[in-house]
Amino acid sequence: MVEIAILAFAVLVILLTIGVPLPFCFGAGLMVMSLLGDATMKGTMLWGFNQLATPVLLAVPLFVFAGTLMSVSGIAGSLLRFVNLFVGRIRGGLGVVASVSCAIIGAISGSGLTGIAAIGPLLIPEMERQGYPRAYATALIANSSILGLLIPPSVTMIVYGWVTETSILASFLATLGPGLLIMLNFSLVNLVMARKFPLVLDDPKPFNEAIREGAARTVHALPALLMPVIILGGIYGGIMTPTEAAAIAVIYAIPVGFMIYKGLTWRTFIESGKESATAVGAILIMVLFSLMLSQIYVMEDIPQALVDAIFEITTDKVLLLIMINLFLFLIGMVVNDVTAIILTAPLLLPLMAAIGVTPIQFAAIMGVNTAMGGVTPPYASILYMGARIGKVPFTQLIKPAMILLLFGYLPVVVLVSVWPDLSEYIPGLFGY
Amino acid sequence: METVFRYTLTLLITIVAGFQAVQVVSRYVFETPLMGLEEMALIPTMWLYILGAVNASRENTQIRANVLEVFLKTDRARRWLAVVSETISLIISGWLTWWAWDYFKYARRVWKESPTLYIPTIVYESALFLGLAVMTLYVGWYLLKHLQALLAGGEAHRVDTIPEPVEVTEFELLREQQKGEKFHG
Repeated sequence: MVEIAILAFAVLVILLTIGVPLPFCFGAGLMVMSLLGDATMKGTMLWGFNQLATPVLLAVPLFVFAGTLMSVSGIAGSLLRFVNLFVGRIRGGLGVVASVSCAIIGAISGSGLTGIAAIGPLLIPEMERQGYPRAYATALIANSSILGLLIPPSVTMIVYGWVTETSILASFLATLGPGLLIMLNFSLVNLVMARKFPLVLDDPKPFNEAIREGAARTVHALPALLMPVIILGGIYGGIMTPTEAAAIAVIYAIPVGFMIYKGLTWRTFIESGKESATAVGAILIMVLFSLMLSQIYVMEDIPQALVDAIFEITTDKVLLLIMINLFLFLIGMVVNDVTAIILTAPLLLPLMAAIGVTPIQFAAIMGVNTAMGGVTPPYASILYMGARIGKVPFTQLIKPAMILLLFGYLPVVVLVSVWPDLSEYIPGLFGY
Repeated sequence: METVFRYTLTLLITIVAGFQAVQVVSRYVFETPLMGLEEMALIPTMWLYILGAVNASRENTQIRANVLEVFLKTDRARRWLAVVSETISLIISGWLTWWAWDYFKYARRVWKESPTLYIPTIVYESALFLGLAVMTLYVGWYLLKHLQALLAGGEAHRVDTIPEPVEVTEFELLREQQKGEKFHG
C-alpha cells in the first residue's frame, strides 16, 4: 500500500506540474488509491463533505470577504496618512510606512495580496516622487504584503490549524512574532537602502499645523484601526470564535465602507462578494479532495511510514529542519500558500512531533516558508501583482525583491526553526 | 450567467455572515443562543463553497501550478499543454462526479434530517453532485475551446510572457477602485 501511496503522490505532483487544476490533482491521487489500492470512495466522500461543514472553516470566506470590503472601501489612504505621521519625516520613512501599513492591513485581511493591491497604487507613485526607484518601491511593498499571511487573522493559519487539529488561535499567534520581526527587518533594510537613493524630503510643517493635521488623520483612520481591535480583541478576549469574529468584521465593514470611507458602492459590494466567494470556492473544493486523500493516507499509516523512511536517512534534528525548510521553500515556489499547507502539513506533522517540534512552532515554520512562496517565482502571485500595480517589468522586480528577502526575511525563517520561543512565547502568554 | 453568479454568491456570503453575527448578538447581548441557527446556516454555507468552486471553473480560475508552461516558448506548445491538462481534468472530474452521484443517491435513500429543525440534509448534500456535474461541463467546454484553437492551425508564435498565477487577476476590483485616489505624505 505504501508503494501505491507513493505512486498517488507522484501522479499528483506530475499533474500539478503540467497545469491540471489542484482539486483534480488531488482527485487523481484519490483515483490511484481507489483503483489500484483498496481505498474506498464510498465513505470517504461522505466523510470529506461533512468535514467541510465545520464552523471553523467558515472563517476563511468571511475573513477574505471582510478584508476585500475594507480594502475597496478606500481605507488604504487614511492608513498610510496615519502611519506617515510617525515615520514620514525621516529619511527612508516612506519605506517604513509601506512595511507598517502592510502589517496593519494584514491585521484586517487574511490574504497576502490585499496589502500590495490596496497600498501599492497609492504609495508607489509617492515613493517615486520622493526619489525611490520605482522597481524598488514596488518590490518593498510586494514583499511587505506577505505580512498579510503572518499577522493574524490569517487564512493559511486557519487551514493549518484545521488540517493538523491545532488550535486556530494558537496558530494565529505563532506567526505574529515572526511577522512583527519581518516588519522590523524590512523597515531597517529599507532605511539602509534609502541612503543610496537621491531622496527629496518635504519640508516639515509648523508645529501647530502638524498637530492639527495629526489629530485629523488619526480620527479619519480610527474606523479602520478599530477593525483589528474588534477581530483580535473579540477572539482573544474570549468573546467570539474566529468564525464569529470574521462575521462581525463583515458586518462592521459594510457601514464603514458605505458611510465613512464611502469607497464602497453597491457595484463594488456585489463584486467583492463574488470575488471573495469564488476565491474561497476554489480553495475549499481543493481542501475537500486533499482532505479525503489525507484521510486515506492516515488510514493506511502513510505519515508514520514517511517518518520511518526519513529516520533511516538521518535523525539529526538540525539536518531535518534544514531539509524541511528547503522542501517547503521549493514547494512554495510552485504552489500557493494554502495548497502548500494542505499538501504537506498532515504528512510532516508526525515527523515534527518525532523530532520535538511542537505543532505551534511548526505552524510558524509552515507559515513563514509558504508565505515566502508569494514572492519567489515561478508561483510568485504577490510579485506578479506588484509588477502589474507598479507597472514595472517583472524581471526588474526580482533583484530588489531578492535583496529584501535575503536580508529581511530569510534571517527570520532561520530563527523560527532554531529559536522556538519566537513562535511559542506569544501563544504561551495566552495559555497555549 | 455572470450576473446570476455575481448576485447569488454575494447574497450567500452575506447571509452566512448575517447568521453568524445574529448568533453572536443573541448569545452575548440577549444571552439566549438561538437553537437551530447553525443548522439553517449550513445550507447557504455549503452552497456558497460549491457555487464558488463552480464559478471558479466557469471563469477558469481554479488554482493551478503551471510549472511546465513557464518553459514552453510558443503559443502552440502552450495550447497543446492546455489540451492535455483539460483532457486529464475532464476524466478526473467525471470520475469524481460519478462518486458524488453515488453519495447523492445514498443521501436521498437515507433522507437524514437535522436534529433541531428537522431540515432534510439533502438540501445541502446535493450541492456536491450538482456542483461537480456543472464543473465537469465547464472543463469540457474549455477543452473544446482549446481544441478549436489548436485545430484552427496557423504557425507557432513565440511567446515571452510568463504565465501569471490566477490569484493575480482576482483583485482587479481593487486596482480599478483606487485609480482616482492619491496619497501625499
